[in-house]
Parts: sequence; C-alpha cells; structure tokens
Amino acid sequence: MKKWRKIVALLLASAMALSVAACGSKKEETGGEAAPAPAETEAPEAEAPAESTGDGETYTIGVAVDTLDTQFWMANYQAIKDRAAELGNITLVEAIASADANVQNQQIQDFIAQGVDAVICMANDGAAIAAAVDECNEAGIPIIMNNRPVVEGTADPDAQVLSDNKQMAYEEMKWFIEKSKEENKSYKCLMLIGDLGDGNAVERRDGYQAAVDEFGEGVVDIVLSVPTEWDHEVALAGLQSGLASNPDINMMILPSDFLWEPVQTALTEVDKWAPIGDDKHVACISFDGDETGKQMLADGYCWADAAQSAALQGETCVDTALSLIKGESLPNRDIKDSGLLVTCDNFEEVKDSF
Amino acid sequence: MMKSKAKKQDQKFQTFLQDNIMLFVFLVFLICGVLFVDKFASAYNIKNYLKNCAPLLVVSTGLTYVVLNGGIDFSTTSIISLGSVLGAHLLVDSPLAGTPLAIPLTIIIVVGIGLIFGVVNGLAVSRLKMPSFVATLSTQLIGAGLAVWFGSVLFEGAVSLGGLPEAFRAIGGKGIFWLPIVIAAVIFLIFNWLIRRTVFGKQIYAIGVNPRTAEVSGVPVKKNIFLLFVISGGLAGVASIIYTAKNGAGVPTMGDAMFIDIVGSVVIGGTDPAGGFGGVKNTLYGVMFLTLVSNILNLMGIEWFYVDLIKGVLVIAAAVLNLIFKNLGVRGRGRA
Repeated sequence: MKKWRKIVALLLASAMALSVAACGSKKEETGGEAAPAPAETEAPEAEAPAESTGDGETYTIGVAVDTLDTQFWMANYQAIKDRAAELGNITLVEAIASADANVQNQQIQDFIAQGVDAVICMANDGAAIAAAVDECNEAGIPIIMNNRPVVEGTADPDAQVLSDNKQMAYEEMKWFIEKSKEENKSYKCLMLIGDLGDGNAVERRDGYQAAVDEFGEGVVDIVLSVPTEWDHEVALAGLQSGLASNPDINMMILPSDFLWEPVQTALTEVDKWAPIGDDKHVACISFDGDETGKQMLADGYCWADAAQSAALQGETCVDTALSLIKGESLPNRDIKDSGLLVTCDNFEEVKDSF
Repeated sequence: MMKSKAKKQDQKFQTFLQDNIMLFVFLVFLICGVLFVDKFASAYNIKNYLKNCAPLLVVSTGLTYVVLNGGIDFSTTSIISLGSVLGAHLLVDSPLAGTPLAIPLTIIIVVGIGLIFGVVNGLAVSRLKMPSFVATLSTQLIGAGLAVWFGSVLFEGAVSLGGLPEAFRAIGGKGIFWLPIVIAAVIFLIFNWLIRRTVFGKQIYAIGVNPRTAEVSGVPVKKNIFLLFVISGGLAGVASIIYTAKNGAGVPTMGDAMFIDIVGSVVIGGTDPAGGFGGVKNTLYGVMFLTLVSNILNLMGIEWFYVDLIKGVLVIAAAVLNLIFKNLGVRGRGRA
C-alpha cells in the first residue's frame, strides 16, 4: 500500500510543479496602461513604416528567434525588447528554435494558438519557414521577417526588415579595390561563404563577386570560396585546408563578423595574423559591424566592415508589427537597411554611430 | 481462496498501472494544461499538437522495435534528412516534378532509402556482429553527409528547397489536418499489433531478454534482428515524408536535432533501453507526453532559457517514476 501512496504523491507533485510554473509563467510584460506615441524611427537609412501612434490598447507579439549565438542576433533581440518597453503597450512572448527549422515552425504555431497579435521571425531557414508564414497568413496574424527573408515565391510574409546585403557588400568591395589601386597592391583572395540556405549569405556573396567582376581585374582575384554553414568548426576546417593549398592568399572576405574567431585561429596557425602595415598581414574585409568587427577595425586587422544596424532592424520590426496590427498599410513589403560602410579611413569619425 | 483472488487482482492492477504509468502522467499534465494554460484547449492548438505528434510517433515506433532488442538506431535522423533532400528535389526540380507520378514515386523512393539504410544496419548488426551503436552511428554519419552533399548539388547553390506541391504538403497536414494523424495512427495500430499479437513480436521480446536463450529455443535471432533495423529504417523514411510535407521544404539538416525527442519518447514511454520490456504503446505515451510538455511550455510563454531546464526536469521525473516501478519489482513479464 505504501508504495502506491508514493506513486500517487509523485504524480501529484508533478502536477503541482506544472501548475506552479503555470502561475509563475513570465511573459516579457513591458506595458504600462497607457500607450504613449512611439518616437519617430531613428533610421535615416531605412525605409521605415509610418510612425505608429498609441491607442491605449495592449498587444502581444511573438518573437521567434533562430539562435542567440551571435552578437548581431543578441543586439537585434535586445533592441526588440527595448523598443517594446519604450512603447509601453506591448507584451513579448519568445521562443528560441536552437537552429532547428521544424522546431521553429512548431513554435510559431504555438504563437498562433496563443492568439498573439503579430509575429516577428528571425528565420532559421528561408524555405522551411514558408509553412509557418502560410499558417500566420491563414490565421490573419501579421508576420514580419527579421533580417532573413523567405525564399522568393515560397510564401508571402506581411513585411521583411532586411539589410541591403548585396549593395552593401558591393560598395564595400568597390571601396577596397579602389583603395588597393591607390596603393598599387594586388590580392589573392579567399572568400568565406555563409549558409547558402540563408538569403543574406547568398546576397553578400553575389555583392562581393559583382564588384570584383566589375572593378577588380588585376587587383583582386578570388581564388577560393570556402563554405562555412555559419559554423565555426566548418569554417576553421575550410580555412586550414584553403591556406595549406593556397599559401599565397593575402586577402579574406568574411561574410559576417561572427567568423573572426576561426579566421584569427587559422591565420595564427600559419603565422599570418598581423595588423595592417605588417609584412605578414592578410587583408580582411567583413560584414555586420558588431562589437567584434569594431574591435578588429580598432586593432588594425580589418580594412572595412559593412555595418548593418542590429538595433535599427529590431526596432523597425516592432514598429512595423504595430503598424500592421493596427491595419495600416506599408509602402513596401521589404524594408531595407542600407547600412554604413565603415573603413580604416573613416573608423575614428563613425565609430560611435554603429 | 479469497486472499488468493485478491492477491491476483492486486497483481493485475499493479501490472496495468506499470504498463500505463506514462498514460497517467500524461493525463495529469493534460488536465493541468486544460485548467491552467490559456488557449491550450483551443481547436487550433489541439490540431497542431496532434499534427506534431504524428511524425514523431512514426519514427519512434520504428526505434522502439530496435530498443526492445537492446539496440539503438542513430541513423533515423539522417534518413529523415536525406529523404527530405531527395524528396524535395524529386517533387520540385526533377523531370518527375509536376507529373501525376511525382508524389507516389517520391514516397516509394524516400521510404526505399530508409529501407536500404535499415538493410545495411541490419546486416552489420546481425551478420557482422557489429554493435548497433557503432553500425548505426556510421550510417548516421554517412546519411548526414549524403544529405548535405546532395543538397549542395541538387539545390543549385541553396541549402534548402521549398515550393513543394500542395497535394504533397497535405501529407503533413496542410489543408487536411487529420491526414498525418491517420497515417501515424494506422502505422501505430499495425506495429502495435505486430509486437503484441504475433509470434514475431513474442520472439522480439525473447531476444531482448536473452538472445542466447532465445536462439537455443529455436528463435531465428539473426533474421529477426535484421528485420528490426529494416522496420526502423522504413518508418524513418515514412517520417521523413511527413516532416518534409509538414515543413514544406527539403532541408538537409531536417533530422539533425531530433534524436533526443525520438529516443526520449521511446525511453520515457517506458521501453527499457536494455531491451526486453516496453512496446509501441509505451512509445505512444512518450510521444504524447514529450510533445505535450513542449506545447504547454511554449503556450505559457516561459522565457526560453527556462524551457529546456523545465523539460529536462520533467523528463527526469518521468524516468524516476519508471525506475520506481522497476525497483518495486512489478516488472518482469518481459513484455508490455
């Protein structure tokens, strides 16, 4: 008899644990009662939607996050939280997919079941997210893609807040080639490539390649492309074999500041990790403009960084969600952040603005 | 006489409770969900919950057969990924795309891939005497590598491929939410019957308890072990079809993160990892419980870093319950 008592007690304890958790469920309640008018979007470079106005209503926005393993995503996510707190009438519910497309789709379905007013989605996969976008469309819940677009033609999100990746990469490479021409230098380049399932990675690659094709003859020769799948280990393995088979490489393109760590490791191993001006220096240009990129510019390892504004994009997502919830129409579905080209020449001037 | 009858009844009740303990835990959580979690009982959420259970039940059912034998099959996740890539390619980019044969042939080919992996695993374990851990870890790596390689070759520069036909996506529940649930239910019923009501099923338990004794008793051990892996591979192929249809895209890493949920469903349900005890019915409970926990935690809007923590604690609690039953000595029938 005693043993059955124990079992029943355990079952009840489990149930109690759940009910306690239920009572203590903590949403990111940021709202006060009144909804002050949101400040005008501080985004001269971005085509932001019309300014939202407070109406005393409170809204719930589901934030579907892929992973929080990069500084860009951390800063972007923090900006979403800060903007929601600033507006005062938004409750955020969050879900992290841990880089699993199937889990992310399930999480967005759960947002729909919860009855959220809008979804902001940092997609894990531009094609697989189409299923969740369709579900949001059917449920009449606006979905805003944050920084990563849906693969064209697979689904129709209500808005996409994106970096103008191709143009930013193009301008950055164009600047580097002009600078190299001034200094009468030429480079053999290794280009790292992100995950080709990520539209951003594809656009960056295309932007860099287009500038090299147009302006780079005799200056920049891309001798090797190394896929990274946005993974440090994959990137490092590719860099090590690439540097071994092409020891004369003296330039690298990083499609994200996220990849500085494997680049530093690989170059250190072959004794080529040295700042600008050193004979052993390998010229690097990068993308993102996060804290690591900033540090590399400050320390003289990086020639240029195409800075996308994580904070601006996060804020714009919240403002766009609010506009869509209120039934306002957007001038364009895709809202582009044209970014800021930070170079070793203008770094001191602009270092506080990204 | 009366005392003996009461004892018999008590034993019967103990066995019933033991076999169905996770069902009771599931029901407790279900009731808590209905009472405490807003929107849990909505029609939309229930549909999604069942749709999410369906493919997990299919692949976990296959793994249950292998675990009952005291083995493991790591290759299930890479079968899901590889099937997803090839299936999407066949449906969208191949000469078959758009023809009436595209969907049936895709299903046959993807399930066939699972069966081939199952045959390789089965031969390695039953004929070459490789531990299933080693054999299936090897095929898992091969399958995962092939999935990424085919993805890079077939998807023309992109890693994933969307735009699957609507008729195919119906298999994942798009437009016909009950279809994946019916598929999973039929598979469950067939394989539950196979394990509980046939000689083959009895032999599987006998091998799981003691393969040497089973062999001496005339059970075709090698043949049966081979078949277990074929079943596991084939059902992983079916799950790949459902997952791909559900997500509307072929993704080379589709199955990568699923193994914890697959093996968790089997073990939490009550199937003994050492073999010989448990069953497909237990796995159904494990699938329903694990999916329910994820669903409830998401609906509660619990901050993300608590979710895994709570999930882990609940899974441990369920495992402890199973262990208590084991220690109480009410197990030992050798089958569920």
